[in-house]
This record gives sequence, structure tokens and C-alpha cells, in this order.
Amino acid sequence: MGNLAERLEEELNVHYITFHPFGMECQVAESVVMTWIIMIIMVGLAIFLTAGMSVHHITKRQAVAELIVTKLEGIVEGMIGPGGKRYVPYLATVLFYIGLSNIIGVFDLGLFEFRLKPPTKDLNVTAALALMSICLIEYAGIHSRGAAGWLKSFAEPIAVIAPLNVLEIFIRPLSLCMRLFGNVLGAFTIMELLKMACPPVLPAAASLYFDLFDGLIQAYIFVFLTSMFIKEALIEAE
Amino acid sequence: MLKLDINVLWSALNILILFFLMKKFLFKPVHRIIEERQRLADEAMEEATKKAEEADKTLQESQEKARMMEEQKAELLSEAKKEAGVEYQKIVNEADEQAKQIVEHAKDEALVEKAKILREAQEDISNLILDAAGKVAGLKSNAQDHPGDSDLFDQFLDKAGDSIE
Repeated sequence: MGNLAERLEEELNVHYITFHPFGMECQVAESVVMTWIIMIIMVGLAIFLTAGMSVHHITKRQAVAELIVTKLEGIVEGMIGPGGKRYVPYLATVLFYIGLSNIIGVFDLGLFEFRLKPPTKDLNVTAALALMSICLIEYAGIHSRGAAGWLKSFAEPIAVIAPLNVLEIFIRPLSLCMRLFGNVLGAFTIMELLKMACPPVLPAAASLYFDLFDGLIQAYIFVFLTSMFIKEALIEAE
Repeated sequence: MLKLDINVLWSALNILILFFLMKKFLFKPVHRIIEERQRLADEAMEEATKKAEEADKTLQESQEKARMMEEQKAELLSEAKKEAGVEYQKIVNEADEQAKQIVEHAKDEALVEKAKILREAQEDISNLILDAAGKVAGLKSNAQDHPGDSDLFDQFLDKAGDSIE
């Protein structure tokens, strides 16, 4: 049993990978390396799918590319509303990225020397995502109503709750970050435990829920909340 | 496990780079294609609408033309009818005139003839009477005894002539 706890802790710890570019020692978290892999997959897929696109007589690849783009943007646009069109590509990218990150563990077939772990189980990644989200939310507010209007918006609906509104700047990214991190880490932990306790069959079935369903749901929730906050910042401006 | 370090920065950088790459390689090209397609569809739609409008206009114009031609036809026809009526009236009048003239002429001729016949008849009758009177006078050579007889003849002739005329 003690052995199990040790192994679990080993899996849960964030590992660092050391590079030696230009003779310097450079330590990078494995989540960052995983993100590079996911980036290569996504950009490679994009380049592959959009190669040789034409207006008429589209290929199947182009049809898939158009389907992905229109569906992703359709989901985000449905959440953010018509006023937030300029934020749709970023949110669609984040949706795609988090979705792929969360389910990347499913593709961990032992083909590589390293294990494919979801980068979103690292707090650094979810914190980065949440920080960018809150920056985007506040930027949307400033952009749509001007700096003065944005400052004034903290006193809405009444001036008394201004401190709470200011607190929200910190609470929102914290909750976004922790929700995603906690869910992915929890799912990852349970999956690791299941793999150790009962290697055959059971992890595959559980993976449907913990990796695929929960992973995609969390990606959706993250983007949904960010969209909601941006929409709020925009609606108040009107 | 719950440790924030410089990797937050790397992760944020990664996500930003990923966003720009995705924008460049996925969203922009696909948007360009979709917009281009939309533009072409809009153009085709506009073209079709324009053509339909043109066709409508042409149809209306030709209908207008047909209507005008119909009107012209009716006008011409009525004019021709009017002219024909006038002509007809003229011809009828002329014919009437001619017929009257002919009848008049015939009447005149008939009168002349009648007068001629009458005159001839008068002459014949007076000759007859003269003959008869001569004979009677011859028979009564001693007419001096009865001088009133010659007057009687003249009177008779006058009366007869009056009654014939």
C-alpha cells in the first residue's frame, strides 16, 4: 500500500525536463513540453487540413477544416453573443486546446519514452489560461466602454459593492484556474489509481467518463465562463 | 503539486503562440474561403435579382407596346370606318342625285313627248274637224243663208282644244 502511495505521488508530481540550448541549462516543466506537443498536433492538423483550399469543389480535408472552424466558432459565438465576435478565435483556440489537453491521456499508448499527461493537470498551465482569460475580460471591458467607463463599472449596480467587484478580478481567474486544475488532477489521480489497482478493462471504461466526458466538459465550462464574463463586460457597455 | 513558478509564463507564451499560429493557419484561411464563397453567392444572387428585374421591365415594356399597338389599331379602324361611312354617304348621295336627275330627265322627256303627241293629236283632230267641216261646208254651199255655222265650228274647236289640253 505504501508502495502505491509512492507511485501515485511520483505520477502526480510535476516533472522537469532539462534542456541545454546554447550550452545553458534550462529546466522546463513537462506540462510545457506537453503543450508543445499539442501545439504541434493542432498546427500540423490545421496546415494539413487547410492545404490547397479552394472556394469551389472542396476536398474532404477542407470540409473537415471548415466544419471544425464553424462548429468551434458556433459554440463560442452562441455563448458570447454577437457583440464579442473579435474574441471568438482566441476562445475557440482555447476550447480546442483545453479539450485536446484533457483527453490527451487517452492517447497514452506507450509509443513514446515519456508519458502523455494532460498539461492541464499542472497548475502553471491552468493559471496561465486563467490569467489570460481575466486579462481578456478586463480588456474587453476597457475596449468597449473606455478606461473611465471601465473604472466606473466597478461601482455598478451600486457603489457599495465596488470592493466586491474589485475582488472579482482576482476571484474569477482563481476559480477558473482551480476548477480546471482540480477536475483534471482529480480525474488523472483516479485514473492512475484505477490503472494501479485493476489494470485490465476497468480503466478503459472509467476513462470514458474521467478523460473524455469530464475533460471535454471542463474545456467547455472554462470557455463558457470566460465568454460569459466577456459578454457581461460588453453588455454593461450598451 | 500546488506550485507556481516561471512555467506560468512559458505556458502563457505557449498559448499565445498557439493562438497566433491557429489564427494564421486555421481561422484566417477558412474565413477567407467562407467569405469568398459568401461573396460569390451574394453576387450570383444579386445578378439573378437584377436579371429578373430586367426581364420584368422588358415584359412590361412589351405589354405596353402591345397595348399601344392595339389602341392604334382601334383608332385606325374607327377612322377608316368613319371615312368609309363618309365615302358611302357620298356615293349614295351621288347615286341619289343621279337617280333624281335621270327621273327628272325622264319626266321632262315624257312631258315633251306628251306635249308633242298632244300637239300632233290636236293637229290631227283639227285637220279631221277641218276636213269634216269642209265637207259639211261643201254640202251646204249655200251657207250664206246660215252665216252662224262657221262661228259655231270655231267655238267647238276651241272647246275641244281646251278640254284636250
